Amino acid sequence: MKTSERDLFARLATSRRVLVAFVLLGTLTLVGVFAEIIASPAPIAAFGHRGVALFPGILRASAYESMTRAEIEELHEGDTAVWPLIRYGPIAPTEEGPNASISLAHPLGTDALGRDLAARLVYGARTALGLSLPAVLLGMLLGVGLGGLAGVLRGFWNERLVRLVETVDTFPAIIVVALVRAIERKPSALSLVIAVALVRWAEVARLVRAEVLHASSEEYVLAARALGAPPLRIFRRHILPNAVAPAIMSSATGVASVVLLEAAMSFLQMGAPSRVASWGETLAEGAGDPSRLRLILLPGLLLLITVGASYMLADALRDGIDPRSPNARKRPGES
Amino acid sequence: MLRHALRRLLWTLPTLIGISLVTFFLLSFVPDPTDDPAFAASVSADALTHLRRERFLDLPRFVNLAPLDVRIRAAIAVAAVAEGNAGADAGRRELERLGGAALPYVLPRFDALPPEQRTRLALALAPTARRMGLGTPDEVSDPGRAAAFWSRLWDDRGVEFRQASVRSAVSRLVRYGSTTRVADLVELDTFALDDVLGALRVPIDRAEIDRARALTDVAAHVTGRDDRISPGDDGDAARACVERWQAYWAVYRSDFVAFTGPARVAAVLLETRYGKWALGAITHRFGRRPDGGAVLDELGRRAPTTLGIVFAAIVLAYAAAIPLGAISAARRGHRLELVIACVVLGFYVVPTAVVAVVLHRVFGEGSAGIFGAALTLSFALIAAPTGQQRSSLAATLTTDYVVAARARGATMTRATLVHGLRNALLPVLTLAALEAPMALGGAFVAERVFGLHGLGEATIEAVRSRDTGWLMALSIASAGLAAIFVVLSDLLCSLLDVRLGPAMMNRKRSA
Repeated sequence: MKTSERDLFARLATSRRVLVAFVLLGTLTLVGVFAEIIASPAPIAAFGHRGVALFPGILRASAYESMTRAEIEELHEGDTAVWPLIRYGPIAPTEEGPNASISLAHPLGTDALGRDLAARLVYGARTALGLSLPAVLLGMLLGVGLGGLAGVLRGFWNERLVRLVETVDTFPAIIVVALVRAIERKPSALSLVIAVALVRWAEVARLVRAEVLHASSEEYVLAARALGAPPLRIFRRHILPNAVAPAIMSSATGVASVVLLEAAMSFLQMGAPSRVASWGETLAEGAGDPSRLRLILLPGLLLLITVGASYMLADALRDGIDPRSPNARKRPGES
Repeated sequence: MLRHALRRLLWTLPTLIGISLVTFFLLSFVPDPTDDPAFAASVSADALTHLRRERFLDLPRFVNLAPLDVRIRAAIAVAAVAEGNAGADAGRRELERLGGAALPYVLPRFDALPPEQRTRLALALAPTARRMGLGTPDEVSDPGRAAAFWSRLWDDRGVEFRQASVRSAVSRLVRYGSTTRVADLVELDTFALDDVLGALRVPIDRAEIDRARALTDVAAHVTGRDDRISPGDDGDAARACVERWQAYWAVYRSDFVAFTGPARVAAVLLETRYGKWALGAITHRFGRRPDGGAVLDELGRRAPTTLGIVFAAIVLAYAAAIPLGAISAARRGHRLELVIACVVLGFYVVPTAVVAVVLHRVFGEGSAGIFGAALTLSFALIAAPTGQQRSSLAATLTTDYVVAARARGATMTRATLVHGLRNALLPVLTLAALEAPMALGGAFVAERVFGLHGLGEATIEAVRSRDTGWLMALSIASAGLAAIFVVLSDLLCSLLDVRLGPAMMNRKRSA
């Protein structure tokens, strides 16, 4: 087990697809995490007559958001300030007005509501990845737990669990999200995460259960049992490691589908309108006015990169894990 | 095999009930308009209570261990009136509202009360007597004589307060319809309401309208709810009136009926929000929409558009994916395989909204728009079956029988098409049956862009207006549809591959 694991990581590390996917996803994650440094009305740091202010845009975000450009200039007059690349936030409309074209202040222009498009796309990365990663992780945890249980249990509860997995697995995700959207008074990212995790776990559980069933009949499990290993230890040491690989693979694809789902939800504008920047929302704006091609192409491209990278990662993982996969490299010693 | 499929189909029933329970539980957290403090401040407390009651918000969600019926309500009101303290006024109003239905639970206990409490109670019943047309006004409102009046009344006519006599009075009214029969029922007051409104049917012809008018007149008189069918009303007005009465009865039945014996057991489940919803769903085609139509009718009107798009998209996608997958399996390692993989992945990752907006310009709206929507949706669906086809065919091509066919001199094309494809198709087709629920989200997007009136439009509107009835119906319908597809795909598998048939029967229900 150990050598093949090391083998797997070595193969993954040298795969060009994995490298490209990691660079793309990593860049987008960094952009999402450090969005305030890239686009914010407040300076990153200011040194001047009021002493040193580090990251005022993060620490006093609401104060800056309500100020106009001139007020901020006045506040920091005479300061030595490091300004972010884009000096606008994603929510407040700028003075340029709606649909301004590309300029130095607005590298990508403004959207239909006069907000800086570049800032919205930067913060959209935070929404997309901040939503999909927790949702997928939560789904994976639930799926591995319940799928493992379904693989180990026998009789009545096994059947109930299988039926549950089958039902949830075929239940349309969009309806779960619609239900959650109807419940909440204010749309929040957390509810979407929970809604997506509620549906996603079933796919992971199905895969894990199949692997657990398969592994349970292997000779090494029988041998472990014959040696007197307790069931929990057999499950943890001998069965679970086999099941984790497909779970991770499905989760990598899951990132793609969650990002697409979030885009679809923002596009459909289900539920109360949200001020949070999202690529799907920008797409919806562009769809409403097809002459503004920028509003469709840019978020579309970003979605393409995110989804493509996570799909590529999943594909590379599958090839690395599954020896039956068509692209799997022949291991040394195999004919 | 068919037996197995039928059993699976039967098993979907408990699954659907489970789905409806979970969905109902989720939707019970939907903020109701009456929860809004601004709205609550704009109406009187009394009206707010009524509004909340009509939305069943006074009931528990799933289990009502202490369902309120006329007996309990009457006992509370009697206690309030007899005490004569601050709640007496509300108690008097409640007794007037409960009317005749409460008498079997009030009058037998009359003699057990101390004299002054008995008098207070008798006076509180005066409005009921007036409504029933019994006794003289002096008699019922004179403190000295009221108690004696009610004791005498119960001795004389208590026997008439029985289910059987009410039922025969109602059936006489329905059959012959005359003023004396009306008087019979009015004398029983609200005690007759269960049978009167139970006999009320949505009228179709003239005779039925007249019958409904006689019944609603009685109901309007005893409840003080002035909603009648006037002699000049046409069929639609009469039907609307009858439906209003039925809706009223669904809410207020427990005020006039005692839950005894089996009814009490049933009330534990039925006198709940879920019970009321389920009854409405069964009797009224999944309940009423805000515009008055039945939810099921609306679902039936809109589903063909959405399902049409979804199925057309699946067919289009599989028509493209099977050859693409076959080519890339046959050309493993070639540049062509890489190109196909990139193109298919590209299709998958382009957001449906983007494709839809582009294709919308090409196809426009109308019937071409439906095709455009299906085409839009099919782009995202190509990736999964292509990959599945590629790996399943690639595995098949290395099997002994394909190798043997090649050795006998069959060309690569023939080996792939005749020997490989047939066996590799099975897992791909299994996937197709499960694709529909996954494609629903994309279908909503495509519908919106192409301006089609499908499920998506209604669902977005339902989320906005917090229309729980629609969401319940949609959730159950899609779960039911998905379950049927799972069974169908199993059936298809066993038909395509006879080896699987017995295996599936043996493994019982462990799908």
